[in-house]
Amino acid sequence: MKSRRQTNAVVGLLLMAAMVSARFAEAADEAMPLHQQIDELIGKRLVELKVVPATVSSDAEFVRRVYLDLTGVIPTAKQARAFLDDSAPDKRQRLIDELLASPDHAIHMARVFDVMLIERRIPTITSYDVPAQKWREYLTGAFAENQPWDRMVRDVLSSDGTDERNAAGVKFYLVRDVAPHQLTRDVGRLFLGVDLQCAQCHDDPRIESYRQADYFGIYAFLQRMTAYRDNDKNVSLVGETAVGKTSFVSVFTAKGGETNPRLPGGEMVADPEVEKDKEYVVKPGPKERGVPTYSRRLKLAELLPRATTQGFSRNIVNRLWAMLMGRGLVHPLDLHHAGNPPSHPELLDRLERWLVEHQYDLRALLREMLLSQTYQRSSVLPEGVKELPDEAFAAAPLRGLSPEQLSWSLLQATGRIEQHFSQFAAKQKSDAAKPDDAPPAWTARATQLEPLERQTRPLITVFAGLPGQPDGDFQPVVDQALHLLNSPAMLPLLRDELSNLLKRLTAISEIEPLAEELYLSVLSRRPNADETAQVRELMESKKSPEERREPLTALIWGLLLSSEFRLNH
Amino acid sequence: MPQQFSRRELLAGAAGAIAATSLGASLRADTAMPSRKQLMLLFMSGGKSQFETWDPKPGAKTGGPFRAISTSIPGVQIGELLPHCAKIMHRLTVVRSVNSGIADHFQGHYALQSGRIATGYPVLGSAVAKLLERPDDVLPGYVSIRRDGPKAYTDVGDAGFLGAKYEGVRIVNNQPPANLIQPSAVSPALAEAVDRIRQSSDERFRLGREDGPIHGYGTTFHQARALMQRREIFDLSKEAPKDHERYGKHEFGQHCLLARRLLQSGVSCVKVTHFDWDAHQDNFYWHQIRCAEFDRTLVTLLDDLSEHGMLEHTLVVIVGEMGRTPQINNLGGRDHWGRCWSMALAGCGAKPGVVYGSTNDTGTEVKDNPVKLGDLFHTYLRALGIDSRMKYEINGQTNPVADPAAKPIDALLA
Amino acid sequence: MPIDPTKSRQLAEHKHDAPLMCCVFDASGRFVIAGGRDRKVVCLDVAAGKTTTLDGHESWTGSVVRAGAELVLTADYAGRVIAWDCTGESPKPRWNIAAHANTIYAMAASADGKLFATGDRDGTIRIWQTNDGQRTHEITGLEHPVYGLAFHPDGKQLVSADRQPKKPRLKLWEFATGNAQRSIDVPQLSAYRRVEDIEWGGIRAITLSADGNTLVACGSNEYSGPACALLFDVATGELKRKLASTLKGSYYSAQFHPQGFLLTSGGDVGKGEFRAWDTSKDESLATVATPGPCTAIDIHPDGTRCVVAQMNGKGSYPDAGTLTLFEWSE
Repeated sequence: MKSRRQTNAVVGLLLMAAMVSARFAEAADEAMPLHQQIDELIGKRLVELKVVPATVSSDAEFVRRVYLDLTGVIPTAKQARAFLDDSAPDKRQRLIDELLASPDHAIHMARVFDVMLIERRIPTITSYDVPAQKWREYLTGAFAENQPWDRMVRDVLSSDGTDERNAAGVKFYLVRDVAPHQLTRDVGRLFLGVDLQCAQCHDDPRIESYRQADYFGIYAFLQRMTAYRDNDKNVSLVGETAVGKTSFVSVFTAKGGETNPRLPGGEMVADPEVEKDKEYVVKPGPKERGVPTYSRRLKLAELLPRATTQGFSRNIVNRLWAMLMGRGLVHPLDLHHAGNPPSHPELLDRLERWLVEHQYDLRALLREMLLSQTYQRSSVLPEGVKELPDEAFAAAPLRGLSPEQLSWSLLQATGRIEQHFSQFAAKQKSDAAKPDDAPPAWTARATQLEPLERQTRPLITVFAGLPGQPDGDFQPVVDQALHLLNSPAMLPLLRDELSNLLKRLTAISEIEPLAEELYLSVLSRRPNADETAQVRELMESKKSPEERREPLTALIWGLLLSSEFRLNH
Repeated sequence: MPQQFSRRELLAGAAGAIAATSLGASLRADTAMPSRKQLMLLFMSGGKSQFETWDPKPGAKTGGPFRAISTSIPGVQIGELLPHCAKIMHRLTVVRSVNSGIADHFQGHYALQSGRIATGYPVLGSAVAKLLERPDDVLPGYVSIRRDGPKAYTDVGDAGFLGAKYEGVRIVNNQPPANLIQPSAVSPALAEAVDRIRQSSDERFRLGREDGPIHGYGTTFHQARALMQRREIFDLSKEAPKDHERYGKHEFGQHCLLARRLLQSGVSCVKVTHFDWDAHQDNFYWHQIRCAEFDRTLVTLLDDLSEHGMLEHTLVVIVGEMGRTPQINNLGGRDHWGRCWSMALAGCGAKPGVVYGSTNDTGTEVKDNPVKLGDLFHTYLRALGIDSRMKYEINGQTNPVADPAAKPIDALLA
Repeated sequence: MPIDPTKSRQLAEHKHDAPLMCCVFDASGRFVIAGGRDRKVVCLDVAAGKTTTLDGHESWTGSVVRAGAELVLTADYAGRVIAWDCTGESPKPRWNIAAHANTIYAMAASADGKLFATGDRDGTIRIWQTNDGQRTHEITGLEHPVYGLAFHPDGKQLVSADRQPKKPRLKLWEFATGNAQRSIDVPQLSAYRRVEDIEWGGIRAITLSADGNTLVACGSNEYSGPACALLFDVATGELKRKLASTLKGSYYSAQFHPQGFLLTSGGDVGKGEFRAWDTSKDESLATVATPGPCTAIDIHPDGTRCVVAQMNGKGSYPDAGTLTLFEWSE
């Protein structure tokens, strides 16, 4: 658990505050690009908090961070070097745009949203699920097309698994065993940013504004759902019945209520009159998937992803913000309520409206956040400052790499990804190219990555959190350290033929270029003098490849175990 | 075998190995620490029948074929399948009036361990590991011992919102956790160099940065080294043959022996799952088999804990996810039942010799002192000296450690 | 006078307030002795059409057998065996022994009635003298519950049936030496569940033909049924035929009629049956449906009648029992 950081007054604070306060006297000008508005509103709050922010990140900090955030993996030594050596003033913006347009970005976003929406759940009957690969491909396609968020949510919520266009979306329901209570909670948490769980049994004594009725209002949309298994076709689907009232009793007051479907803060949605005996398109039976004439679930899919739904836009804005800035403007992400206000209400409101005005264009929103100074700050605190309040966004936070980022970065640092693609390219040349019926770039890329994807899975298992829990704050545990120290898989990762870093380093006999290649490969930066000296101390007397093998292994391994590698900073 | 280890003595081995670190230093400073309270949860997976154990109804239509026997508490009888327990009944605390209302494995496994119906809360072992945690702990706080077998309802999420750190370390078939031994291909010199490079890198990286995550990550490597040094705590061959014998050479007996070893080593919570109580068929056959294992092993365990001076600070909880139906089905089985059933406690904080609550003549309804699952959870915490009205503060979220709608049962507490 | 197994009619029905698990006629055919899920043994005076109860057991009575001309033996879940002298106006206990330390699941008497055998939960088989209840032999090592026992007509061999997980066994013993002559695995009657690592099935009952050549093993065909009886050639151990019911459930009992046809009884939740079979055919000769599962069947010594024991109640929870008498006509 992270302790709350203290605000420290520092020398020069007042001067700094006087300088910025003049600029922030007015509310952010909405004609300005959004990233400037972000900086204005964050800056305004910094003044109020009397906090001096960290300086702008170094190029090395930036390149590693932006690769991790946009593609889910550290840059190669080559990519890092190219960026560091580029002297163009607009190189950061160019890199952001280049990465946002890359297939790797869509693939990364699919991984992030897979974990966010599925939370590593598996259904009780493991096989009653949508295969992970199909679901990932579905998400990747959506992000590659930069589909608007409202459409993505509507497609997931309306999926019953039968329409090829959005069939994979039914995974959201299946991994939760189509259990209405679980679904109610997760629809609230993941799409509206509110956790109504405690309201399941009674009005939450802690959070007055969470009414039990809200919980059962969502529940009423979902309670008629049924799981349906077609063993002949080996698919799992969802169906629905046309009956079922929602009533509830508070365990504290023993007072009950009955509700129709209703979104929090919204109106009750009355079921339309349906003629008797015409309740069903397909009547549910042992061999029949129920399809009602009027579907409450489809009504939810229609009503929820709208700007007018309380929390819908705010939730996704807050989640993207947290993805880049380490914590939400509302934090925890699924606990927006009166007792837990946003740190920057005006900014949250502005971001929310901007996204609605821009038709839920997530990529455009990410771009603005990335261009902000707020994103591009250093993780090195201002001189003399020990800690800064997390919610001030005054310095880049130290975030643990996600299990996916960590696993892919281990493959990147050790040269596995590069090695894989160089072999792939060699093979590609011998094959005749077929440009005419070429699939979209992301499909080709995902196919090429598949063998590596398989290699990441055992690592992800070691580093992943608990099923059904959001990944949450950085919380290292001992079995992960044991894995990194003692797993029989570690030495091969460093040394075997599929990795090329050790080979590359072995071939460099001069100390300085050797240290540079090592540090660029693992930590995406050049070494400082101390670090070069450490490499020299270990390597100087070692001449033959055999002698060099052990100390080089130690250097790679040691840096892979460092906090600098483990954290996004 | 020493009578009782202090925590300091126990950790001396680890401390020696990592004496150069701040962690080692703080361990050495760890003097005059009172005995840590500990928890042992014996979970009767599948749902033990109350009729064949704590709440017999001999001669009743629902009573089954077995007799009731007298116990060391005058006037109190239990099932004839528990002859050893009968002799130490005055040391046990039995509740005959649990009404959990849950007749489902998945829900019951979770709810009877977490004290809640609503999902996402930590189970008892995780909660207690968190609540009794000390800053210098190197051993995991919660270890869960079970046999191998396909993953079923027994593997519900453990730590809930407490996160992976408090998830039980799973010991399957008494095999130690993975990766406790350095691979032979890694020379000590290489391992030492790796650690040196890691540490010097961290020293440079922490300059000017927030120290929390960097320190936290580094600590896991110290903990890993400590566990590697102390991996013998998982090695049952270090236990005397007579202990193997008296605990019973079946899974449950051996798992309980390991559990005692781990508690003795300083792990704060250990859960042992006793499987196969789910007797939908041939209930009376299975209860003879399971009760024979359970009866002897439990009494051995309590004696052993007592002999080692551990029982006074170790709470032993004996509970399953539900009870079994009064009605006996056509296959001679009893089915799932949550309305009225029994559980037991012993040791730290529990009032010995108490039989709390009762059921009607056919065992179909609680007659007096009904106990809810939330009440049990409060009671466990209180027995361990934890204020059950406390709240967790995790990731900015406040959560009561126990259901605020329930309360501890004073009559069960010493 | 031969009877026609396809022509049967119900003669009488007697209710009991606990589910019944076993029943047998005494040698004279005057009484039916039955036991079940209570401590009272039921005694039906067939001619008078009246039932009384016999005290002595402190647990459920799961097995009953006719031994010689005078005695009927009952065995219970606590390991006790009581010999009932049926020569008088009502059965009287002759002796009463603590035969096993735990549940007796199976009991059988030799053809001449001089010996009987009991089998228990742990797989221990004991052979006793009928006249005084003295033990003569013991067979150990099965390690799984013995659900069925049958003496070979040669008077030297005994067959046991058990519930070894995945592979329930039929074993042919020379009981004087305790040597197993033959062991036949019967995986068809296993209902092993991997998830729990528990065997739910097993060979629930056995019987031998009068010539000792055909062995019948009853149970449920794997986990989902149907109830079935498997016919084995004793000499070779070969499975000759599978007689399958249309009921899911299980067969609990089987007996050869002196005319050579086989009777099986069994049932499922809330229903039961007994059937007559020509053992050379897959199809049964006749079926009689009953309201509850038929846990046992016994043929009257004169061959014209039979009695079945049932468990009755709501759904899958029987709370009462029935003894039903049937009569065959020519």
